[in-house]
Amino acid sequence: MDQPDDRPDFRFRLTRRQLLRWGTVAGIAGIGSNGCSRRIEQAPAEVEPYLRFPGKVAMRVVNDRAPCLETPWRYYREDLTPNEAFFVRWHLQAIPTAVDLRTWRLRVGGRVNKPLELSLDDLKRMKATSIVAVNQCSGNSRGYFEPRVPGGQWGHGAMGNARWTGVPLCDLLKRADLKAKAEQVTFDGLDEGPLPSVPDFIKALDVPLALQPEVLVAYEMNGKPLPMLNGFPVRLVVPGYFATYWIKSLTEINVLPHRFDGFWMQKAYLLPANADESPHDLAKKVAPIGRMVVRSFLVRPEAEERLPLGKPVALDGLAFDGGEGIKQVQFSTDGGSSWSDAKLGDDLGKFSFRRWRAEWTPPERGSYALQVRAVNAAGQTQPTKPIWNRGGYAQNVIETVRVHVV
Amino acid sequence: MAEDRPSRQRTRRGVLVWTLLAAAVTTAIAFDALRDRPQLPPPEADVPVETPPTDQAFALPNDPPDLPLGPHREEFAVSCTICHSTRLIANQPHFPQKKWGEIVHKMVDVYGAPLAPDDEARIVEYLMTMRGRPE
Ligand code: HEC
Repeated sequence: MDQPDDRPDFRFRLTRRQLLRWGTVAGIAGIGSNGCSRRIEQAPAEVEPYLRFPGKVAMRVVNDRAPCLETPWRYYREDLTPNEAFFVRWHLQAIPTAVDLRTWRLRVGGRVNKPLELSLDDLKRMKATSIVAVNQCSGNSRGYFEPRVPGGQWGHGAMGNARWTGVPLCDLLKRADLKAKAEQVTFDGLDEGPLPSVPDFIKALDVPLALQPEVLVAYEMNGKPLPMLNGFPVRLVVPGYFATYWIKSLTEINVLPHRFDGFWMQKAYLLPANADESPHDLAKKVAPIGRMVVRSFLVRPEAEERLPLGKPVALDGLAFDGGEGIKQVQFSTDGGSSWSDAKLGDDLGKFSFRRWRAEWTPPERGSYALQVRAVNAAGQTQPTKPIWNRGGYAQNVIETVRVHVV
Repeated sequence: MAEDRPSRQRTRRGVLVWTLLAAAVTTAIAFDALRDRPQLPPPEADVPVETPPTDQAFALPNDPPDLPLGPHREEFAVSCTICHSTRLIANQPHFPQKKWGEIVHKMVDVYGAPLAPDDEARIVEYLMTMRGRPE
C-alpha cells in the first residue's frame, strides 16, 4: 500500500503550503506509485518540527524526549560536522543536562588488578590522541526502509564526522591491569531508564577490539568540549563501528570474564547473522551489529534542485566505510547505466568522511537521476537494491537524487 | 531574521523542565494548546548557537505532537507518555493493527510499561486512529 505521507523529509525545506501543493500535484499526476518519484513521496503531510535544543542549531526532531535530532543536510558540505549541528540520539529519557566535574569520575573496574577512579583532569593529564572518525547511527536512513519498520524514523542525517581527542582506551585498561581471562568490556553512561523496569543502556566490546589503539575515551570534539547532548564530559569513540557502541557521558567501564548478556547487546541492535532476511522469512540466527558498511552520498546539488542548462554543475559529496578507507567514488547522471570517476578530496584518515567532487554539464533539459557509489580499500562497494532487515539497520544502498535541468 | 522568530517563540513556549509527571501532564494539556500551530521551515545556518554551561542543568524543549481525537485517547495519553514522548510514536509509519499490537506488547513485556491487560487492546485501537492502516 502506498503511504505517501510519513517518510522523513530531511533534505528540502518546504513551507506547509508548498507541501500541500506538491501533495495535490502528486495526487493528480498519480506519482507516488513509481520508483522515480521517491523524493516527492517522502514529503510528509505535516512538516516535521525543527527545534533548537540547548547548544544546537534547529534540527529535525525524530523524538523530543529522549532527544533524537537529525543533522540538517547542508552541514555535510563540510568535512567535519560542526558540534552544534551534530546529530543527537539518546535512548532513555533521564539524560544528563549538567555534570558537576568536582564529583564526576570515570570508573574502571571488574576483572582488573588496579581499579581506577579518574576525574576529567586526571584524564587530561594522560597522553592524548586525536582521530577523525565518522559516527553513524545504526538506524540511519531507517525512514526509507520498505516495508517500513518501527524505530526512530531517521532520514540520512543520523551521521557526522568529527576530530575526537582523548585517552586511548587501551592506555586506561593497561593502567587498570587486566586480569587473565578478561573477555568483554562494558560501557555505561549517565543516562538512566525512566522506570526501573527499563534496561540501562550498556554496551560491550570484545577485549581485543577494546585494546585497539584507535578506540578512545574522548573529551573533545573538533577541538571543543563535547556538547552536553553529544555526551559531555567524555564519550567512547569506536572508529569504524556503528554509533550504538559510542557510549555518551561515559562513567563506568567494567571488565568481564564472560560475554555480557544485557538487553541492549542480546535483544537490540541485532542483524541477521549470515543470510539476508525478509518480512516473511526472518533470519533464525542474529548477531550484534558491528562495523559500518560502505556508503556514499551526494551533498550538492540537493534533491529536486533546478539547474540551469548549459552550465557546468559542481557535484560534491562524501563517502565512508568501516575503517578500510575509501579508494574510489563514481557517479552516474543516468540512473546507474554509466559511471564516471569522481575526484577524491583531502584524506583525513581511513575512519573519516572522504570528500569527492565532480563536474557535470547537463546535455539537455529534463529530469536526471544522479547516483553515487564508493569502493573501499578491501574492494567492498554498495548494493543497487536496498537490503532489508527488521531492525532497519546498516542501510547502504546506492542512493538516487533527482534534479531538474531547466 | 524574521523567519526564525516563530521558532524562538515556540521554543520558549515549549521549554518545560520535565519530570515524569510533569511531562505526562503537560503532554495532556499541550494536545489541545498546540493544535494547528503554524509549521516552521528550519531557520538559516548562520544563526549563532550559544553553548550552555555544563554545570547548570538546562531545560529540554518539550514538543509533543497534536493527537487526533479518537476512542481511548486518554488511556494512550496516560500510558504512552511515561517513558518517552508521543513524538516518537507520531513519527512512526502507518502500521496495521497486528504490528501495533506487537509494538504495544513489546512496551509491556520488554520495558515494563504498566498497562492493565485490557489497556493493550484499547491503546491499539487508538493507535489505529492515529497511525493505522489496513492489513
Ligand atoms: C516503561 C517505559 C515505556 C512505556 C510506558 C512505553 N514505552 Fe515505548 N519505548 C520504550 C523504550 C525504552 C523504547 C526504546 C527507545 C529507544 O530505543 O530510543 C521505546 C520505543 C518505542 C517505539 C519505537 C519502536 C521501538 O520498538 O523502539 C514506539 C513506537 C513506542 N515505544 C510506542 C509506545 C506506545 C504506543 C506506548 C504506550 C502503550 C509506549 N511506547 C509506552 C519504553 C516505554
